[in-house]
Amino acid sequence: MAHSGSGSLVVAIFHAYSGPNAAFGPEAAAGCFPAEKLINAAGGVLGHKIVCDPTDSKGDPADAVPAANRLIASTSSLVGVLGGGSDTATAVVPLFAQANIPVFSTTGQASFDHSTSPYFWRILSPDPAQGGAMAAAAKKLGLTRVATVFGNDSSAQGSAPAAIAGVTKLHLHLVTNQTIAIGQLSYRSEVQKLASAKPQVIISEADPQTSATYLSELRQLGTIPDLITDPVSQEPGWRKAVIGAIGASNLNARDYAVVAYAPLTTLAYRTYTAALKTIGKQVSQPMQWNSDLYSVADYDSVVVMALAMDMAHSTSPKVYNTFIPKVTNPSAGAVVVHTYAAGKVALAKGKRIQYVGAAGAIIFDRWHNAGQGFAIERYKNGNWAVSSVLSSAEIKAAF
Amino acid sequence: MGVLMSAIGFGIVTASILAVSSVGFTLQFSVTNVFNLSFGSVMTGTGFIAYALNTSGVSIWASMAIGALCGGVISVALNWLIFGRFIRHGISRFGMVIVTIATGLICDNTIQAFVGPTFYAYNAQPGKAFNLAGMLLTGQELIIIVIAAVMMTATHVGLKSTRLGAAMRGLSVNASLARACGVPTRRVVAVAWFASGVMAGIGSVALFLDTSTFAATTGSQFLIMVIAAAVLGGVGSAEGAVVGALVVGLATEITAAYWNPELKDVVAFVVLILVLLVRPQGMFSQLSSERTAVG
Repeated sequence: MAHSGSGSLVVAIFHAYSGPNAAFGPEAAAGCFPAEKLINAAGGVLGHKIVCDPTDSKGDPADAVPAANRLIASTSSLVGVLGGGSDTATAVVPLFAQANIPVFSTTGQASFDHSTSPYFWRILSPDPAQGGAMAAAAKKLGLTRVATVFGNDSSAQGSAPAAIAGVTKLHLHLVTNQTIAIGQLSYRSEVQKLASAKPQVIISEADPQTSATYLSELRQLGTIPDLITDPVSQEPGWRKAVIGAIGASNLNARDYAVVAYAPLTTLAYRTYTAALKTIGKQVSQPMQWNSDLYSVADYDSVVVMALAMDMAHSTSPKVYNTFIPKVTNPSAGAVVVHTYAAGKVALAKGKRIQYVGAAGAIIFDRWHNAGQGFAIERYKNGNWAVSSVLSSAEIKAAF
Repeated sequence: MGVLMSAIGFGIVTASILAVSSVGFTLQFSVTNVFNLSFGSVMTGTGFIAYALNTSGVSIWASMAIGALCGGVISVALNWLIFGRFIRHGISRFGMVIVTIATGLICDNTIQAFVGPTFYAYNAQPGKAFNLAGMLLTGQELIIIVIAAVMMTATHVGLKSTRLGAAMRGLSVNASLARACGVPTRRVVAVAWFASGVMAGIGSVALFLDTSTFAATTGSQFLIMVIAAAVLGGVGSAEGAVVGALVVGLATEITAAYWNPELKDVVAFVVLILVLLVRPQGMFSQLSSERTAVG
């Protein structure tokens, strides 16, 4: 656990480092530490160094609430939080908000679509948008006989209703719709029901172990249909589990990952990946996260916090919080910047700025939600590559 | 009928996996009276030993056998280093449960520190699927059923027809009387822990083959089902654990096949509670609730 030195500003990485969602922590750390490095290299924020502080939420509210309370009580220099994934956001976001600490969350839960908390911020699209995009992907791929298989955890259930509704709205044939209890010893009966429905594609979201067990048992019955999955399937832990169950060639041939889309070729993205390469001490195998949108969004979140503090001339969370949209949303005469260093220089000259980050433009609405488009990605030659981009018209048709 | 036969077949596979572990859990409890909640960690540890062997080129079944022997040694070591000392100090039954929970947490987190928060899979193919009277089972599943059947038969025969089995049964009924009759208590207790660890090892490899992947906490995650089967059958009864495993296995699979897969655990535990309402000691248990722990 890192601790702040004198005068440093702590950004907590409040995610699961243990339990079924143990990949969430390293994933967020792969965003925070590169930002820490670049911000401090540019002289820090108003003379203070940024320190990323990993805190294990354990991925469930029962553990996350006391951990959040401890964090708030024990860290006087806490200026922001990356955290509250779909597993814990409902429980911990109010706690941080009550302490006037801005929370940049990666939760996809629809309950935050119209959040009135002034301290809640979300850069990536919510789960219902993800679910609708998964249905739109089935349509785009010409796969008409669709099965949906979602875990009964809050992460998966965030996108399930929109995916199921989208399938119907797009006049696809929903051959079966399964909500499965996660972490079971076997799914053979569920798998046999699915196989007898003969789907062309399964739209699915579940944790690594559940997905691995389910797909392994499906494989035993014959061929696995195509899969449309969410960004969880791009996490190394998910891939390792499922590859162990059905083999890499099977997975790569079947899997279409529908992910929030950001063109990963920009200056901001190149700056991020250059810093990511250098943080091997803080994050194991950091480059495994280089195209992970959650990591990228967490990087942008820390940069946005730092720029907002610069603009507000204050490191007080209560003060700089209101400046967050002022450094991201477009405004007349704003200089577009892609790095913290460039933004700091522009602000020092008294200019208005719009930070367009590694995840692309970040335009917060009145509920502090931003969002990206979506793309279908395939895993080829050791990398994820965009195979096609879903247009906003294609996604809207699913709603 | 096809769906029912499939569900029964799948239920038998699930029951076989649970039965080996449940009998291991309950056999050790019946002899020592220690409700060992670190059993899941022993499963995980032996599962990883088997993984290390398997990925070094040893066949999965040989890895299972060697892993099981290591499980026996680990189990004996835990009793020798930790549990036995507490028992000799006269710890309460509740206190002992807490010690086993703490031991399990220590083991799980130590394993996680070494293997990381990621997933592992054995290098083993499920094999060809066979249709047996409408039950579609893979070669691997059939081997697991056979292993479970052999283990259960051996346990039954060992308990009923050998001097060691008689000594174990004697200890489970009245430890003081058994000791007074010349039963070498420490040796019998050590054998019980060893047998329990061996079954944890076999159960874990079967379980991890079934789930396809496993992590540092997978054994503990499934401990609740192992205990459910043991409690349903009657804690301390090997035959009861087998029947309990069958009930849990069939209840979960038939629920998933005919009703809502989300509720398969709910149905299994409703059955558990209903049985315990009628027979609080479980279906087969004849153990007295006044027993003391034996170390």
